[in-house]
Amino acid sequence: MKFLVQIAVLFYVVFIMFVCSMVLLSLYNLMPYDMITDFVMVMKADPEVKQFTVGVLAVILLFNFVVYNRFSPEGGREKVIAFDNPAGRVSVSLAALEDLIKRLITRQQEIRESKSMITVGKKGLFIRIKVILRSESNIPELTSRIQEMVKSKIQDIIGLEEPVYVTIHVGKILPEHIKSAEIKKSEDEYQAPPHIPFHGYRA
Amino acid sequence: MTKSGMLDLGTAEVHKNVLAAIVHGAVREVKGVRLEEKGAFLKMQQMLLGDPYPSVIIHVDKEKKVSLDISITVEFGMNIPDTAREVQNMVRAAIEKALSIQLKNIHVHVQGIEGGLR
Repeated sequence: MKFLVQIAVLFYVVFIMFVCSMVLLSLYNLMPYDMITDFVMVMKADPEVKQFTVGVLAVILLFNFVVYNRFSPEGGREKVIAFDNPAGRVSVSLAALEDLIKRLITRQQEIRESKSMITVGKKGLFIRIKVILRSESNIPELTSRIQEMVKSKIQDIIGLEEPVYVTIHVGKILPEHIKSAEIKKSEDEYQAPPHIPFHGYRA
Repeated sequence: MTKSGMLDLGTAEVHKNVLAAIVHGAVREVKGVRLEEKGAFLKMQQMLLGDPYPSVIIHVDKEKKVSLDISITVEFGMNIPDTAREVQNMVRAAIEKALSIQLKNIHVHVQGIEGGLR
């Protein structure tokens, strides 16, 4: 996200600087009007330049659309679960719940990575979780444990009696040597404290 | 404001930021809750508009009734409906105490859940 913000800020700063400089230069006759018309004529006449320009403009329009969708309050409106209290409405972002599920699941020793997606339907909440396992663990036992855990946690946390359906997709099981390499790496990262020889007590 | 037996000395206006600051203080009183600070849009709003509390949006309708939209982050493990209700009650009480105005609606948006990492 930071990357997109940086790109967007850089793009708009450069674009505005370019437009302002061009207008200023043409206002003070530092850039002849013929130069601009020649440039436009070349763009129109040469099919390759024309195609290139169309491509660049299409990318700029697409980028604008993405930035608008992400940053405008209406365009970037998040999906939420909402319920009403007497004092007003409470909405819970689905992204927040997805993040919560990810944290819950990656607590399990057997799971290396996970990604979850929540959709809200008329029948309830549908949670789809993709996981990458660390080792060959008992998949039915593990998945049913995760399903129970996620279901109860979500029902606890949002406090609603909506039915929750949890689907788990095991995408990958990492081989044993990767697991042992990870353990070795973590052991290497741990540095033992330096040994200080005992010099006896001092008064 | 004119009350019986009192002279009308003028109007008292309260800036939206004052209301937002009161909301900020009230939300901080609720355990395990803080106003949403992350998010590129909020940061840009804070940077460009100089809005010190971008996570509190104040609406005043034609009837001069005030509604609030508050974006919060709650701590992992907390019950969201209870927490949201507590936030609404605290904010309502704080606004009524400080400004003596009745809020129309207090909408709470839970944007994130923090903590609970391994």
